[in-house]
Amino acid sequence: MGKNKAELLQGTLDLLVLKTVDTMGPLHGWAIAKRIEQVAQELLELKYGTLYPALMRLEQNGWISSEWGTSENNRRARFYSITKQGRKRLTLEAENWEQMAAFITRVLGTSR
Amino acid sequence: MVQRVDEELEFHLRMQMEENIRRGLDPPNAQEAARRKLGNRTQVSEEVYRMNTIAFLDEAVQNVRFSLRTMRRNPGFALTAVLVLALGLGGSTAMFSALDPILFRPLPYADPDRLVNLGWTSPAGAPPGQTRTILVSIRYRERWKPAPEPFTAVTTIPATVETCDVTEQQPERLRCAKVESNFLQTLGVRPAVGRDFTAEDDVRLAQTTAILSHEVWTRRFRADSDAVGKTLELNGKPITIAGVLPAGFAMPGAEADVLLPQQIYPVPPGSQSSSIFKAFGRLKPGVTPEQAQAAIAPLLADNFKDLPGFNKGAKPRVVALRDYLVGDAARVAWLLLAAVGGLLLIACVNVANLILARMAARNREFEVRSALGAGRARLARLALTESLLLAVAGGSIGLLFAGALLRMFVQLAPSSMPEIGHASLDLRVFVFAVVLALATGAAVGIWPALSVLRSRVHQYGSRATAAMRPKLRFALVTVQIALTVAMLGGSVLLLRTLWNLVSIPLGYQSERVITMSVSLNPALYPNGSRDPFFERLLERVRGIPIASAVTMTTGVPPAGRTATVTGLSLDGQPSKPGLNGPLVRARGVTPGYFQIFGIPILRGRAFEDADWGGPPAVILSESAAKILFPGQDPLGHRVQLWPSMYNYRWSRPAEVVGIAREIRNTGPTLEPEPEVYAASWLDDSAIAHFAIRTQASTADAAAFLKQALADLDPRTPAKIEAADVQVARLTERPRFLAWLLSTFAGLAVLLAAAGLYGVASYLVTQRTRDIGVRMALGARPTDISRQVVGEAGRWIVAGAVLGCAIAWAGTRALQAQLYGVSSRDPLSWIAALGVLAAALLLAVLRPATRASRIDPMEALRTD
Repeated sequence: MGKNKAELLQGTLDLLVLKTVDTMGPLHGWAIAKRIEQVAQELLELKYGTLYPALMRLEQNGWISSEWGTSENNRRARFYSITKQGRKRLTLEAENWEQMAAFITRVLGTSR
Repeated sequence: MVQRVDEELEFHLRMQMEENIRRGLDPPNAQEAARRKLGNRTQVSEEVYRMNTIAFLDEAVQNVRFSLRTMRRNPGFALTAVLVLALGLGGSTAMFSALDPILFRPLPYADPDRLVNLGWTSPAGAPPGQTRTILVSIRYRERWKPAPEPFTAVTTIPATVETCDVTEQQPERLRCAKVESNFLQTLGVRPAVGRDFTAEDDVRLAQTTAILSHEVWTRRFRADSDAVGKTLELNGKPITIAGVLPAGFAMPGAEADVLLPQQIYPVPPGSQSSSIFKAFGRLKPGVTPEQAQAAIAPLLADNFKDLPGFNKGAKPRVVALRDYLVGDAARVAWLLLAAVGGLLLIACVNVANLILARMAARNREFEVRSALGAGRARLARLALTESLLLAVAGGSIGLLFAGALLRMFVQLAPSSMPEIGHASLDLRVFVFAVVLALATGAAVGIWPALSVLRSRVHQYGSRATAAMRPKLRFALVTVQIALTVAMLGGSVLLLRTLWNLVSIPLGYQSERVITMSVSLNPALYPNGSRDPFFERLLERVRGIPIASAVTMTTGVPPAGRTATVTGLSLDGQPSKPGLNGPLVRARGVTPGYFQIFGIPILRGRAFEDADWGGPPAVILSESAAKILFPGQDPLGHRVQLWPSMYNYRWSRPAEVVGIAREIRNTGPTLEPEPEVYAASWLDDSAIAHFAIRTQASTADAAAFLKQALADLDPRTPAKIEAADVQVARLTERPRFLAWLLSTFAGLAVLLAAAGLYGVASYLVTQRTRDIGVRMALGARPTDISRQVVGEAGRWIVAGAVLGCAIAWAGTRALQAQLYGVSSRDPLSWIAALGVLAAALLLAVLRPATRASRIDPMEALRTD
């Protein structure tokens, strides 16, 4: 494995953003932040500042796309939605996590 | 980008603030809390930018590393691609550098598009590829100063640049040009150091000043600005240095180390001396050369009145300076550039084909990448990276290659395209090469990248990519073949032209004839001392043991230095109107001339020893006899000539003693000029030519000749050349062109054959299974191989047809360079097609035989 905490966090954030956007459709940056905070509750102390670079990176990789739209209070905001590649990535990552979780469970289980 | 991130963050803060207010905080605290939650806003923006750049760089580095690794695993492919690209890019860069001075480099004058050359065209024709426009005038100052209407200024330089010797310490021979005082002004050039000539300098008998070239100043005065005001001794006279030209200055159409004022005017009253100049002018804005040409026609007509020797055969001519300097060379240059461009295109197509083949092999890799979430744009960027890397590698090697190639061009360039001799690889060319390499990389990679983009990769193992469709690759091969056909046809035509030109009999023999031209320094040999010197030299040359025949002449064939005759008198009668003019050439020759050059005397007799120095005698060429004495027998008649040379003194009537056969004294393709041979010197010339017939080699003969001269005067230089070399120079340019184009065509054939071979092999590999099945069902090996050849043949034919179509459209560009063969000559094109077909069928042979040897059992088991 050898992933350090930062990368782990980054990977987690990616997953969270993708899942959020996948489930809830096009959202603007602030809404994504609020939703993640909601879901993570106290488990993840999210500095909102790290969200925007993450959004940029995800867009670079082609996993999300963005366009201008109007928010619920009639302001101009950038809305993000998931792409086909993004969905593939999400599925892949989800599978990875599940596999890892199952593996660890098994290891912990059998060593008892 | 900047705005967008800012806007987003602004929006975020506002939303957060609103929520905070809803939660009960007052506005200033709400804002503060929102900012704190977001974190340092500048930092966030910066982080976003970094993400942007990092992601891009990250990916780029990743792509490059991966491409390098795959190339190392397939060295054959990488090497081939790089080599092919190096060839194409190196060749184009070298050609661009060589032709840059002709086509693109700006002239070193102010506003050069306004500058023109003016005068009239001599009806006596000119060597191929050169224009001869001169201005001859007696009342130049009255007519041309101030400048006539369409010009803001008119200036002149001598028709030929003289030699002048430095006669103080460090003697050397320099080239001096006598220019008008407004010469530099007209060109818009200011001296880098010191001052320009003024009207006072250009007055007869004023103290002579000089302007040095930058190179001479650097060499002799170590670029010291104190040189201005110092003196330099030229031809025994001390000359004050007035200024220095800027570096990079070049005389239009000549080379000079020193500029001197002409100092012709004021002319002593009653003088009838005329001067021959090259004249240049600066047009007023908005005036075209054609308008100026019409405007000066009346001025030139007045000129003709002063000089009854120039008849209405001459036409005024004003031509833009660039065209005057470069002229015909430009057309040749564009042709060569097009050819090398075609070669580059073929090379690129080859590499594109190679890359497509590799894309097909990497199909699975791309599928996997796609499944892992790589978008199509990302895959395309990966595909493009490889092509760019190859192009950059090819370009770097190509640049080295270009340097060597350029040196070769410069060596082989014909002397009628002297600009090529100045070509060098400079920064502009380097930039051009880089741009070309990147463009090539993009062009070559774009198709494979696009094909990747368009592939529909559904599931593992899908074969629906365009990269795998052989049609595309065959189409590229067709393009290659078409270009090759065009180039091959062109070179066949040029080779035939060359053959035609070389086989034209010039009318005289140049084998085994060695010539020496001796140029005396006028300062060391003043008027009157030259003839005796040359006579003594002739005696010594006659004494050379290996020379079987010797002659001395004012000019060696074909043209040499012959004079245009401005006045003729036949049998004592004054010249008839219409017979005046530069109709005939005059050449002074010693007895033995006709013998050495193998020119038969058709009627009468050749010169004998008694004629030289005896009563004046002339021999006419056939055409001269026809023009001067139509319908009569010229023998025994008397002719008196006034050639337009300085110091002409042979003005006694001479008897016509013989008629000589015509020789092509204007080159192989133009009408020969009528010629009058005189058994005497025509003027007090400082240049004489000697010709000897000998069985010895040029080197041996040169040694003897140099010794003969050195015995009399070791300081005077001699130029020794075999007459054959001078004859070869007549066909220099067509030879250069033919050689170059044939080389390109040869390379194109090689590349096209290699391309076809690659595609055919690939096809056979792809269809191994099908072939196996067919063989199992009873097909014979010959059937299989015939089918492969047949399929390739279809593409070859398509390429040939396309090539002929291209050639048909483009042949007019070539026509100007051809002689004796039309650009649509069927025989030449059939020959070209034949050669190409043979090469291509050979290329396809191996894959075809491989196909026929496929073992059906093996084939069915694979895949």
